[in-house]
Amino acid sequence: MRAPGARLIGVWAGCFALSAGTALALALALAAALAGEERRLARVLLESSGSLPYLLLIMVFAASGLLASWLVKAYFNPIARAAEATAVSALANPKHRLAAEGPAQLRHLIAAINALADHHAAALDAVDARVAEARAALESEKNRLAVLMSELAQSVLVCDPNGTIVLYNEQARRLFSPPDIEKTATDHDFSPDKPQRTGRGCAPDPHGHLQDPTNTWSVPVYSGFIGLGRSLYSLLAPEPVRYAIERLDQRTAAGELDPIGIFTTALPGARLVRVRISPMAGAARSAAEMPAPSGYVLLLEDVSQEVTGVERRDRILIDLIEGARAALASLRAATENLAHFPDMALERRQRFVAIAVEEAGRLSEAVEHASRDHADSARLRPRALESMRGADLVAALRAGLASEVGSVHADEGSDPHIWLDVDCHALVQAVRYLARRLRDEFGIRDYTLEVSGDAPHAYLDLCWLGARISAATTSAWEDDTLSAGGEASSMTLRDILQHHGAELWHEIDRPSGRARFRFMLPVGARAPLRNPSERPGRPVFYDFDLSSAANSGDALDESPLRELAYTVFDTETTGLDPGAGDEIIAIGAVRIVNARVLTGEAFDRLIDPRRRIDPRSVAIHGIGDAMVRGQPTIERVLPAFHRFCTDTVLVGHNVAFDMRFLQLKEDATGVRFRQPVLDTLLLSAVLHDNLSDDRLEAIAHRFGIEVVARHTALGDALVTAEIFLKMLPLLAERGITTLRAARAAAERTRYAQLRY
Amino acid sequence: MAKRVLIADDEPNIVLSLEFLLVQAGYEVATAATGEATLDTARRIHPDLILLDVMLPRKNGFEVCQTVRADPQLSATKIVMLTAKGRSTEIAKGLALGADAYVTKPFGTRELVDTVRTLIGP
Repeated sequence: MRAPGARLIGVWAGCFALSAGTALALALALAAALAGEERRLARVLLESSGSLPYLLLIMVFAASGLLASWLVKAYFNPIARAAEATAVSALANPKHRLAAEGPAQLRHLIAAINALADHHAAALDAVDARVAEARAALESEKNRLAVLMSELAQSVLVCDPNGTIVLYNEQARRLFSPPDIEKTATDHDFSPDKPQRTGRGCAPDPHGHLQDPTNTWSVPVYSGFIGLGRSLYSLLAPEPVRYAIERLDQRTAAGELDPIGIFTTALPGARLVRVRISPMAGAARSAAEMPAPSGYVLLLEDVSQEVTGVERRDRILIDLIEGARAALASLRAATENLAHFPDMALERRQRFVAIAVEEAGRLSEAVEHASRDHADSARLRPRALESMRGADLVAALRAGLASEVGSVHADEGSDPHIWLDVDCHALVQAVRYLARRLRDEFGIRDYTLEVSGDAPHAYLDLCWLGARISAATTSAWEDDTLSAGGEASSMTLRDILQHHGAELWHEIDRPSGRARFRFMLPVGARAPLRNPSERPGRPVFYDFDLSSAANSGDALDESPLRELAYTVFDTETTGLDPGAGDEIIAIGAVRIVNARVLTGEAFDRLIDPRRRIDPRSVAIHGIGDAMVRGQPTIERVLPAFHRFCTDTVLVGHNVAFDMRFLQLKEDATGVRFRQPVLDTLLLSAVLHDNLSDDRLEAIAHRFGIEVVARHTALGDALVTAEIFLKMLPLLAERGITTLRAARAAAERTRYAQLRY
Repeated sequence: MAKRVLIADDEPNIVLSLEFLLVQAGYEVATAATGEATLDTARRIHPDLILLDVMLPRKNGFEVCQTVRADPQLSATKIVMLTAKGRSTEIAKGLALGADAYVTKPFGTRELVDTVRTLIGP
């Protein structure tokens, strides 16, 4: 699209060429028509007034200029404006109408286009009405789901196979309530281990490095912000999640019906959450094949209180039982002796009576003590153990041990039908811990794993040939924390055994002569297998539009604009000159995910600039000195905003102004904003160089967007977000569908503006 | 000659009752209050049976049981474990480590004497 100035010059040149050409042709025709005497006379006339042709030429030039100016004003500009307004009406705002201007013919055309737009709008309304009707039933089901979700005491999170969050409820939002603004992202980095690309649910990032803390497209770092389109791994430690998902996939593949994975993981602030994760049924590719999960549902519970509570109640119960048993044993033995031997000597009789009295007193005390301690405790909850096939446990252990020791074999004779109730992750840690200590202290490198046994017990044996371990060593190993064997756990082997209701000992297997550590575990209930004929259909409430493609850093530029996640933001400042010390006093931002503005996930903070606010600025945004006094300073707010923007493209109106303020704060805050940036001001110029008003209100009005809370940071961010969404189809009409294309088009406009 | 029983428990009240009970049943009785004392006494007197409490100070009952079983001099000694815990895995562990019987506290005195009698005779 050419700018108006260029258009005028073009038309002018056209008109001039046309008139000059016509004059020349006329002159030549005249010259050809004149006879000898007349021609001579004409030459004399021309020669006597030498400047006449040039004068004529200038007159033609001026006249064609006037003509061109009139043409451009009367025809070309109105037509261009009409074309752009037609596009707005057709693609962005069906209520938008063309202004009648230009000559009569054009006015007729505009009237016709407006009539067409009326029809178009009416047709759209009719379609909308029918769509709304068809959706009503669906909506009410969704609402019921929403009510159900909000009523649930548990936090619910749904993610797609890549770990992108597609749904969460209010409880989940509260559980992951934004971290204190004092916290910076480095407070709680889940040391991002090497990315595991095997299996489903690996992080969307292909590089997996975190050397540069300002690189926002790296492995998800704990952000503490929950949000649609954000990564699950920015909220929960990736390792146990991936582990649970891999196990779920194995179990689903083995034909298990509705497997559930359970693990407990830590959140900042010494909180513990218990996570129950289960796959969502996907569509089967063939009748024989199990459908790959279309995502995972996570139920989360804060169990920080519960864990300490359960530990305490366990202690109370165990103390009571053991204390009572011992006292009862003494009491019973003494009284039975008294009853069964009535002829015993008086002295001995008195001794037994005394024992009976003493032990009865001890017993009462033990019961009293326990009931006091137990009074404020809630009921015991079942332990978070999952049923697992013995063979799967052996496979998990082999995978967990392989890199640590020489070789690990699975015993051929293992019974394939044994199921165990275990916390798989903890048990792998426990066995790995034992293997490492055996390796380090006894040089043992080759192991065989075996599962055997009979209800109600099963055995898990870690067997080796050679060194025998003394009972005292075994006992000492049980009491050490697993970290003594290099595990990231402060639990002791005894804790894990107690959690499982398990026992451990060392022994020599007589027939084979092998030494082994034997875990004795309770046998689990066999999980029900899926009967292929009863495969459940898609759940009724399944209506989540899961995004399938994960965007990696490199592919971002080629990503479709509609699929990217955006942070649309605006700032208010003390004045207009950051170089002269003006400061940000408010940041407002909303997120766009899947071409939808997520008004529920807003960022809205006031900032104490530690200086006076220019009264002329106060007049615009209405934020006075008193309002910002005592608010957090920019050094605390900007890192939080930086985390809010993780993995999104930044969007703003005249965003260069805001970016300048952000960049001047890089040294002070330590955060750098290196995300791709799009400016709706420049994009507007790309779309409408004939509709010259690029102010936010004017664009909003053109797109039929209601402006609320103008000149508050959050209000302006919201309007900008709506405008940006309306622009997407108009940009697409011009072939601008990727981030790269949008940035390139904006850049061209910027240069264009600089040049004119 | 009377059969010898070694009572290993650190609670004097139960030891007193058991001692009386087994003497009445016609056994020769010795007592020990720690794990180490139990092993020392067992090696000295070669008892026919040890009533072995799991929660002994200085070497618990499991360790004592394993050590006795590893000692060829004591191969004839029967072991009856006594415990105040009574979880099934614990009982299975005691039997796996070589105990001949397992009795959970509190127990009936007659049943205990019966158990002893079954293992080593009157």
